[in-house]
Amino acid sequence: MTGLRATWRSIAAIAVVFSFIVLIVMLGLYLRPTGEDPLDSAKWQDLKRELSDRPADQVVADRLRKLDLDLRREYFGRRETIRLGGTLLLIGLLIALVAIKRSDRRINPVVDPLVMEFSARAMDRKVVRSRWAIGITGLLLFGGMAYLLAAVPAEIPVPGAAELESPGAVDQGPPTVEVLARQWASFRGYEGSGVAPDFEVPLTWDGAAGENIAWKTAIPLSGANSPVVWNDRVFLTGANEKKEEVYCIDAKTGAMLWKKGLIVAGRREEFDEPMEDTGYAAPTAATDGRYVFVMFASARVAAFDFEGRQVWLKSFGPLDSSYGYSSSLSLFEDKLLLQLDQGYRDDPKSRLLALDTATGKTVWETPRVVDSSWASPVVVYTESGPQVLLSAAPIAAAYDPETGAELWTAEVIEGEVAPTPIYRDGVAYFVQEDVGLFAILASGKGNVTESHVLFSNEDGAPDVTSPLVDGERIYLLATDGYLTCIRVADGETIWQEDLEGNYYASPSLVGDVLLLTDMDGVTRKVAAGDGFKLLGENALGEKVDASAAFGPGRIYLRGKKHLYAIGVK
Amino acid sequence: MKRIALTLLLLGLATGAAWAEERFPPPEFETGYELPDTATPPPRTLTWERIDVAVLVLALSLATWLVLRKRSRRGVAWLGVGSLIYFGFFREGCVCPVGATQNVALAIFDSSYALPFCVLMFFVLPLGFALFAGRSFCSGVCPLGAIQEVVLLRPVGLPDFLERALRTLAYVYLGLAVYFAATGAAFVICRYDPFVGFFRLSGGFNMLVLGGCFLLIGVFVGRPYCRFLCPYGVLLDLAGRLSRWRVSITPAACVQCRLCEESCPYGAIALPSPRRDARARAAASRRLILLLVLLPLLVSVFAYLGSRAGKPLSLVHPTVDLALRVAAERDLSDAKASDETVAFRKTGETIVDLNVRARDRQAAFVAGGWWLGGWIGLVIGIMLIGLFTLPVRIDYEADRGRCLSCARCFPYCPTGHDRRRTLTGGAA
Repeated sequence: MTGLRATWRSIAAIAVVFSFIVLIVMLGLYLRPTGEDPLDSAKWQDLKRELSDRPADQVVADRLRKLDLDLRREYFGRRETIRLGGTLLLIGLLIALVAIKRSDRRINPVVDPLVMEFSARAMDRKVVRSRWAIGITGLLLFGGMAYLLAAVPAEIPVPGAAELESPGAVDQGPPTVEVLARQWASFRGYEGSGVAPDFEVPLTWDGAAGENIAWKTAIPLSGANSPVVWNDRVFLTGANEKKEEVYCIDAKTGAMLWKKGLIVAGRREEFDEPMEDTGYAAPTAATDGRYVFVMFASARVAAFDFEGRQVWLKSFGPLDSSYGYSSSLSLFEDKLLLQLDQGYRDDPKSRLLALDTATGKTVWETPRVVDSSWASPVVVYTESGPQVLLSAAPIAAAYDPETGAELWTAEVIEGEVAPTPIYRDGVAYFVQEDVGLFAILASGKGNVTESHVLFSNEDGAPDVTSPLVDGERIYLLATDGYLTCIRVADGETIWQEDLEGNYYASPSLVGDVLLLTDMDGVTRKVAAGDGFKLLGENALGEKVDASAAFGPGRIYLRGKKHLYAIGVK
Repeated sequence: MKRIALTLLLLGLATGAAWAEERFPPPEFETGYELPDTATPPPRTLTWERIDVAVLVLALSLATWLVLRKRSRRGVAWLGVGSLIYFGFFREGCVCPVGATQNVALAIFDSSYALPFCVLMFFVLPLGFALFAGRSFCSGVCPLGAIQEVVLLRPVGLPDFLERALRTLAYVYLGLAVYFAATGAAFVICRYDPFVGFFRLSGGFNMLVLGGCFLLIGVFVGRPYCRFLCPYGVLLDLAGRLSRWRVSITPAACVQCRLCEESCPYGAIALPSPRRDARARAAASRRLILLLVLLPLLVSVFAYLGSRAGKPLSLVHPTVDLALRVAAERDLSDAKASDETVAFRKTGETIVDLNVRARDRQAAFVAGGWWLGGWIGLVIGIMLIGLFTLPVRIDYEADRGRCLSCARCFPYCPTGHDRRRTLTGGAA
């Protein structure tokens, strides 16, 4: 038996020595400088760079191929050797392990009954120690979890959280252009473009399931107007034949901060009942961070402060507008701009008005020889100065918002107009269903019909929604869902696509994604680009006519009965 | 000297396998081709899955027969070697019942996850056997146990208090494994399996070092992974306590010779309890009642803490991790883009949508944190309660839950044939 164990010991010793030698050889191989990862080779990288600079150079390409092959051969050779070494090492170790076991077959030491402690007291001591051990283990686990809490930050940023903490109102003077560009202060935001500022907003939501719906607030009276947003406040209006109301909603929580009816002194003037689709509250409000300005089909215009106090009220009605008045309000510094286009050009009653935002008094008034229009005025900031763009048959026109002076006109519009003009990079775009799209350089003076019209395109012109430009392409969305993409550079149609649904809401652009919300509340996401690509659809679960508004971390969609804030709760 | 040699051997084993981890550097494809993930073995065919299940059933049956009927330590040891070869090196350690725990947890909490039949069988069968015959799986079927069994050369008994404290870790690990699997974050048992690198002759350096350390400790401390970390062992422990048949140290009546008292390298032999007077029993009863009253409080405190720890723990989830990386890159001008964030930006998904998904995951972690914390509190509480109860035990017994059915204690019993055979060098 002893002899056998001695043999096993010898085998164990040989196996250990063998394994040790293999280990040393493998270490040597591993630490050898050659045989590096081919992709880490400086020479290989230099050659690759050289080839990238001179892709047609066949000599360099051949050298690179040869070097790559050599490096890989060497690498694989080394890998094979290491693999062989690993196998030999494993075999050596297994033999050593078995031999050690065989050479030393002892069973565990048997206890000596005479010296073993075996009493209740001894058992109790063991138990007490164990209790302490478990208790300390529990404390350590408790401490570990508490440490996790204290030392590991894991708060995922909530989009717009910081901005939503900003105060709702500003105290001094009208907002600067930079401030306005970060707000959604009037219809379709800054310059009426429909382009969202670089807020982080979710692009996926489901109204019925509540997915990405930060809140949903019931709006007492209906209205086709879109929400406007100033930091943590959202404003919109609603009206019926008897009441005209303004709503201020907390952008963070959706709570109705205040709801005010217009205080009208004396008898309310009668006016024609608007068409059902237009309603009594089609004009979108505007805000300058101090006041919110509202207008209704009755042609009553009012200003409220951020606490809901009515500051002034003016009435310009009744207006001669079939279907009902729908032009939204626009702001320039401390002036509120009203496009009171009505009647027909042969009996001119139309005018552009600027009211003092603090008092409601008329600052200037410019008569216009145009037909009724349902489009809205937009203030844009061109290189030559600010302009207010207006669209009504027969002219596309620009005025100086400071004085009301007419800057230029182009006789390109015919028929009834609802789409609001847009502007980008020195060019104003006007759309009318019958005549199509006109791109007009905004730098002209006087009648620019013959001199400054860059192009026109009759494809896919909408009758209600406003166009959108992303810098390279213009997108037109017709009520029946026909989406047309036109190239800015030459006015040629790039593509057209017939989408499902009918649309009153104007398109919006978030980053590179167009948001197109149909009347059933389904928003289709389309990639802005030279080819049509539908990215997905989001259902709100409620009918929608109004255009989307944007705030920090939020998209606001007005349904027939509710205002939805799409965002993270 | 021998210990030094052993240490060298084990480190060498780890180093050799570490080299095997090196990967072939892939050519730089320019066609957008994405290399497949090769971190885990490819799925096995249905036939092989059935063979695996059949082998498992056979091995479990054989282990049960060897332990309960044959009482053969040698048989169990050879079965362990066979399992190590088949389930370990041949099957490369996957699927194993230990890891299957996570699949089952995921299947319970994620209805979109289809649990493979083979995985379900691997989870259920050892538990089923444990319910009837104790931990047959641990005795000689589990490759993780077998590899530790092989290296156990100089068993050292651990103090009872240390044994109990360390055993708590297995319960915590089980809770964490289920928690991370249920939240879809990770299969931590597989990720930190210390031995799978050896089975596959490949693995991360840290994993192999970890495995090497376990084997090194395992030379002196019997099966450290099984006893102090194995999450499946916790389930087998609980099932084993209910088992119909179980390991008996002696095949006949215990003569209280105490020869087996130190024979178990796994600390699984329960000693006879000393007699207690009525006063001691009454005091113990009072303490027990107090602890039972305090148990809900303890569970609640840990549950609350667990829910609060949910957010930090959610960092394990790749979506949460990605969201925080993206946020950090945006907030810190000098932050360098990682591969993950670069890949994310190519998907076209907005940061907000990513954050929404991440917050959704975090919410699951917070909800699961209540259960995880509560589980930890419950384990601590029940372990303490167990230490305040007075056991009534007359003979030396294999602990129902903790006994690994390794049959090492059999030769120590003078009433059995095994003892005589051992003392006579197998000549009996």
